[in-house]
Amino acid sequence: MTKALLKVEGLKTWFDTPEGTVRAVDGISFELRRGETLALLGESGCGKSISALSLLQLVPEPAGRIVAGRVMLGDQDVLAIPERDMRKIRGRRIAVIFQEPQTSLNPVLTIGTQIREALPEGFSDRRARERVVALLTSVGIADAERRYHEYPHQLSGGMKQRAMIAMALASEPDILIADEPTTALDVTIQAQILRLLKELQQKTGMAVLLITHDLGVVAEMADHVAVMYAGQIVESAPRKTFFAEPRHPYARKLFRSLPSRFKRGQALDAIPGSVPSLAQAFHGCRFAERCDQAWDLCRQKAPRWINKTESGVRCHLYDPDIPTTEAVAEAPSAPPSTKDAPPSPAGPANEVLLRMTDLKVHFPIHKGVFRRVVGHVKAVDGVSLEIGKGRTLALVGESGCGKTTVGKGILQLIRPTAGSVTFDGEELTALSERALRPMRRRFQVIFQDPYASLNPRMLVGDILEEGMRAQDLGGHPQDRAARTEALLRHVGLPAEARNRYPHEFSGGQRQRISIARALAVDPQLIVCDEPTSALDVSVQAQILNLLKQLQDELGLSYLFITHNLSVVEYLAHEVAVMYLGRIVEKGLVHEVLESPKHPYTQALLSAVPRIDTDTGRKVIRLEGDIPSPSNPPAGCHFHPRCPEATAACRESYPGPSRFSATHETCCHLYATGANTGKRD
Amino acid sequence: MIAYIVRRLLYAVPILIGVNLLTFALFFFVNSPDDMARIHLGMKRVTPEAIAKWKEDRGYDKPLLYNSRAAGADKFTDTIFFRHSVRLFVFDFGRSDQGRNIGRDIMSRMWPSLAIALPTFLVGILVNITFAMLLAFFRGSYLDTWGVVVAVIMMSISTLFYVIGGQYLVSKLLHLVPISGYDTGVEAIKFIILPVIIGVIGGIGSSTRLYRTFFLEEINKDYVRTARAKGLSELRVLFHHVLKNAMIPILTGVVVIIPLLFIGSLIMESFFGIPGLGSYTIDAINSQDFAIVRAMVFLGSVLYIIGLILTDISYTVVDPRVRLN
Repeated sequence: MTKALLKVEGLKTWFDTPEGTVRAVDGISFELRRGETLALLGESGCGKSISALSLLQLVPEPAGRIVAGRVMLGDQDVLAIPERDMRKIRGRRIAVIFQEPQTSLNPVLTIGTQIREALPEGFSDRRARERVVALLTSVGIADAERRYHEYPHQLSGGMKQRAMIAMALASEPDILIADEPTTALDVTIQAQILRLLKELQQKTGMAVLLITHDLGVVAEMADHVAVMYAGQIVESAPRKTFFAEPRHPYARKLFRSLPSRFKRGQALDAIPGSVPSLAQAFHGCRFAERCDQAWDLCRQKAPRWINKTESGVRCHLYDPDIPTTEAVAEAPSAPPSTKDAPPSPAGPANEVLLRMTDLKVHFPIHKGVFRRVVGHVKAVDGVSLEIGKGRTLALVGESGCGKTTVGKGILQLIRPTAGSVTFDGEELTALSERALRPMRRRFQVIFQDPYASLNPRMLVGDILEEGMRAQDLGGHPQDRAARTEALLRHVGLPAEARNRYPHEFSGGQRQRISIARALAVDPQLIVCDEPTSALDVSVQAQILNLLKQLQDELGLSYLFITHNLSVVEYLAHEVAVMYLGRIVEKGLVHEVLESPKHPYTQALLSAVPRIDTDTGRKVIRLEGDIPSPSNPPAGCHFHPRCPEATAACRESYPGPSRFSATHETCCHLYATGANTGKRD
Repeated sequence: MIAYIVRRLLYAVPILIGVNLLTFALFFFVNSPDDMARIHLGMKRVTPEAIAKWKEDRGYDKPLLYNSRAAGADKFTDTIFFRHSVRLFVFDFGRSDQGRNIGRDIMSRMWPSLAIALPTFLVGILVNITFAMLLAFFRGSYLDTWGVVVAVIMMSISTLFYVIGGQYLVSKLLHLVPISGYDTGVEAIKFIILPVIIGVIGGIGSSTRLYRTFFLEEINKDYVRTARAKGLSELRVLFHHVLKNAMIPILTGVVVIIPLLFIGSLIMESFFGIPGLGSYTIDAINSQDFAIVRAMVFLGSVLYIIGLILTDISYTVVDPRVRLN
């Protein structure tokens, strides 16, 4: 065992707010060794980012302050170092990359300037330039000379994160703190960045403190895991031990709340409630309220840290001095399946509710004095899909592929440029706005961000009733009120929520309100646009359970727009994979996810970090970024990134090839002479 | 970029025509030439002949829009509308009701206006940004809190107070510079100093407070955290990272008034006796000289439209993310 490079002991960082003192970080200890990756795992608001900022004395002042603890970097206590000398540590010995490369780079300075600032002193002008270009090249940025003079907005998200990494590496730090480095990126780009980090770590031997909420990323990257909950570390263990046998009830619950194909047909084991407010003094265990194994002692006495070699846990269950006879037995690991078994995953849809044929949504590009139309952004370019009654179609793709626009095109929130959308036999694209209004109650939408999609000035009751009023539903005001309360209870909220404002609710509760709002007009179809992307894993499970339960009870159809493939595996019946405005593969979930045909689908599936890392998964490397839909590559749109591209791929867009009644893909690999070149 | 500017200039044409029509309606329908004549000649004992002569001298005796007695194109050109309104488009302002050449007046009075307005503008920006940065640097401290309090007090006080107070203190008690007046050449400096200082002081309160919020907004952004995490000093962070971003809203906010600097300030010029366009306008209003007022209203609109176009262009200069098209 090598000596620890960084040793954190009893670190406490508190914030003074009008609501009282928030104990964001409340006594955490960990060690970091050279060449090792320690993952700090936790949900939002549990204090992991503040822990990282504390190490650098970068906690936002004056509200935040470090009240106790030591951070030993070698023999030096970092927290005791005055600000002036701290600058020699920041960036030089401990460097950071942040979550949002978009906002973490200065928009008005060039990439080159920003990286140069991070170089140690004593570089001549020419040498500094060379060094920056070398750094950019080393993080995999092609054409570094040109990128040197470019501004952040000229780079794609993945490239910006690469530039951030180059900046962090500029002074060859001993420790790299990576704060959710890939959360804002698409899975194929995430795979690129994670691989880059691993390679750089092997080359330089730096220690990495990886902050993340994603168990998959942890499994991929970490040597050691520390789980944070409500400002404390509740479990710490080597990766293998942790994934083989998580010990803390919270960690165990996290695993079980993850959706996956093995849990299809079952309710997910969601953790009830949400992370408690840290603006209080805790007496018992912080997880007790949400723990199904808690007993009286858990609410009265805070558990101590029980250390074993290499690992430790903060839970009364593992305390040898506490008899656990009173402990509630753990719920069986496979939760009982929901009462009504979902429609069998195989078997075609019986009755089609929505059918879109060759749907196109093009946005004009204007240019010149008279703003002539010089081209089109083909956001959606010929999409044909069907959604059966009571079924879920997942639309999967990376950001910018046009999946949200498909949703808007269906709902006629954007009028499609061409193609048809028939809903229950009625052609929507031909309807006037006036004729469309009564139709709208039959298809509703739930948006991604529950914080932005509810009007903050309206009471929850009014938000729910507005749709009913517009559609003249629900009768008398009293009846409407009763209906509103019934809806709120249906989605798992108290009826009193009616008289409160959206900001009084947590993210998960707000998404429940969004769902209740959609349900208020008795729709048949709900377009769910990334409904759980903004939520924590434990809350995501609650929402997925609710959506599934509602489908079983009410026979709803869902168009589930998402980039999260494990959600698709868990929830969807059919899946369509979208790339640059077109569907490249579609079929029943098990067909597409178990035997993907299109190279893009294969790459997408392989790029998702899995928690079972030892199965020998091979990541298919996709180079580069998604091209712009205003100027898609000729031939097959995917060919520049495709590992299996041939000459034919550069020339024509492939026609569909069928593998079963439901499964088809558009790829030259499977084309027989007869059905190539159907399009273009 | 060029295409954008051309398009914006084309957009300006209908706006200017609208402004022109509105001023015409305001000055000749609401207030007919007969009314103007009466105001100038006095209400009592005015003979119709005197009115007719007054109108004839100034060309107000013509029909408003259509001259049926004239021949050919003159039917439209030999009218009040054409002579007094359409000609404004080529900056032919004609003669004032007192018979002065307005165009020449504007050319000569523009310079004293600029001599006051331009230094006030430049020094003002510099001073306000400096104060705002100072408060932002010491954010949350007593200096910041009291700075904001002082700024609020200063913006609550009327400009007139600064003018009169300044004149009393600096000129009357201390005899440092003349109370008012103007001169040409180097001598002008002693007349310029006081109005410039007072103009700057009058603007400090509101601008400092506004700019401070711009700085604070930037300071709380993620890229500042990145800059600090690189190990940069707080001064470097402030001057190199924050300032450049905060300058975007500041600059684009002030660019719009740059063309209007030519017109000067109504209040400052009349209180300090500066023979600029501001006092020109005030005098014209006082003497009911509508020809001058009309010219200044039109000129003001033209300069304002130019200011708006300059604002859009200035975005591309200070913000690399903005490309006009």
